[in-house]
Amino acid sequence: MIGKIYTCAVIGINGIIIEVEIDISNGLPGFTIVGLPDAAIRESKERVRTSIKNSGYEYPLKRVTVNLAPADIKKEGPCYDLPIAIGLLYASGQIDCIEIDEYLFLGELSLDGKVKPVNGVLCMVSDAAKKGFKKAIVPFKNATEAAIIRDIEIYPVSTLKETVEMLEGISSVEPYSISEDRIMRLSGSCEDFCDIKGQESAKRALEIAAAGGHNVLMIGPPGSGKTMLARRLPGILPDMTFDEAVEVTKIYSITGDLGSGSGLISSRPFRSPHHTISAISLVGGGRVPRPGEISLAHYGVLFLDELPEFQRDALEVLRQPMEDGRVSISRVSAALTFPSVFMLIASMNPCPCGFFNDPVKECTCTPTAIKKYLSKISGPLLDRIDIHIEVSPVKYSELEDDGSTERSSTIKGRVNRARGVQLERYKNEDIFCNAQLKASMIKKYCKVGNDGKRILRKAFESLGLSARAYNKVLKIARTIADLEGRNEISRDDIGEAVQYRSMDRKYWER
Amino acid sequence: MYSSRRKGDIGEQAAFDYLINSGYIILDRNFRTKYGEIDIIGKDNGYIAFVEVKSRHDFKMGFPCEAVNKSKQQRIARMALLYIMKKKLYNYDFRFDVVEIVMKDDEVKYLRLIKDAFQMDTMI
Repeated sequence: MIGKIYTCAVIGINGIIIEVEIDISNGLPGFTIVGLPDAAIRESKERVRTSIKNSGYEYPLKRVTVNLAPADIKKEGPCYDLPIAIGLLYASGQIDCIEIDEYLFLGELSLDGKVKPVNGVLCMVSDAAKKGFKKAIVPFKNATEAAIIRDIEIYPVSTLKETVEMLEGISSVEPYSISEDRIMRLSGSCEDFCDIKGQESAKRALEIAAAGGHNVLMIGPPGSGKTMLARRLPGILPDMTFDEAVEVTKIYSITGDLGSGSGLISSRPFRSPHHTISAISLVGGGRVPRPGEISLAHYGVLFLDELPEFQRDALEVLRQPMEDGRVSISRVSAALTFPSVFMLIASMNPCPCGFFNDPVKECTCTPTAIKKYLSKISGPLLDRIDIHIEVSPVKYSELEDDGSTERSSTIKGRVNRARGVQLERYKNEDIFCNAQLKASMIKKYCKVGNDGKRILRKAFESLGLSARAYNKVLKIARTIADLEGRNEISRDDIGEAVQYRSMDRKYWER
Repeated sequence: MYSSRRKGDIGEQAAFDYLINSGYIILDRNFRTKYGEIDIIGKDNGYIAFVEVKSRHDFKMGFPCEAVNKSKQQRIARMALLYIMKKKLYNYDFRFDVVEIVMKDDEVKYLRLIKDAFQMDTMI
């Protein structure tokens, strides 16, 4: 008899429906799995065999063949244990269930018959629901994650026996659902901007960056507060939409970083990898392709502290994903894509000793050393960073000042409003913030008055800005106007925006 | 010194007697093929069991069943297939059993029957 059970594989962050076909026939007793299983799945045999026996069911002593269709996709991971075991019991007549092909089965099995959690459940359940599946049986610890998808009924199980009894109708199980307010998990608290004294221009630049999703480069001497500023950025980032949150949660679901318990990740990710990170860990890949830091920072912030200390090829490999918003990893069996729309925040010293252009301290580096240091950041990479700011050391009077400084929540309010304007404006395009504007759209959305145009031309000529820099200035000006709640871009907006591109000359002489 | 032939013969007889007492219907003994011999073929509870008998004088080399390693298992399986073809047993269920025997001074001190001792899980 042949049994057909449905389960799911994950490629990138997409779920692909997999059919588990079981055939039991005469011949020497054995268990063969075909369909490009990886090592973990080939080991399934032992787990399936033992858990069936230990759950009190009969393991058929016949020739068993398991096919995981479609046969040209490489199957990975232990989530096929449960569907294979159920398929075996069904094909050997030990489960009587007519609508067994309406369910999606996921789960790893332990030797004593318990169902263990697996990675990527959210991705699987989400795409299964889109394909029309109405019911899914998932490990108990993955239930909260799966319940985020409303269009499919989630049945959590803890043991193989429980699953069989549920299918036979011996026990009735209620679908698991979580209430609306429990769907978003509580965000962790973040340090507040009011901790930082002075640095008003840097704070302003970060506010603009947060509102429009722009990348930022901070240059300054050691101790001027660059790291401190970056760490407080998550506190002023706009709230994620539901769809953004689902996508971010999917990525963390694949890497197994969700943990059991609460539902959607509701605060934007903030990743700050150490500068010894390799290109592959940064961007993604590896023998078994995994999302890299940039995908873990999807819809959030990637903070690269001490930018020149990073390996050169790690930085170069960032360029393409920054343009495309995704990473494509090719393997012989499949090409998978991980999303990576992130805000890059980078900090660096202007030279090896750190005090080049410092108003007070003397720089002890030779001009060659400075040039060599600064050239570690390639031109194309610099060009992709919208906002460049100088973070100068704080004056003592500012440190001493006990006057009130703005709290992050106030700044966040303005950022949220500006972001709301952008979401409304771009609702028919496939972007959601000013930083993503493509060249063709800039003409449409960033119209400038005559006096604004005059300033632009002056800046273009005297500062020698590139065409890309010109576009960046317009995008930044658009965000500045949005923060003020204005639709037209004024002359002052342009003036301020130009400042954020004027450092190229000073440091890189471009 | 005991010849290994003698050890094997005593062991096989002991296994044979034990299987009959356990309810097996013996179909064949010492089925010879070009790969070797299947010690005992018997019918038990709806299965046709191919039984390998392993005899030892002591436990110094471990349990006797441990000598039935992967290559021996494959050899037994090949011989079983020949038997199945020869007798045209296409619609029966099969099983591989092992009987372990340890004896001293021609007396059986330890005997164990392991049903479904191994399976043929092929890797493609």
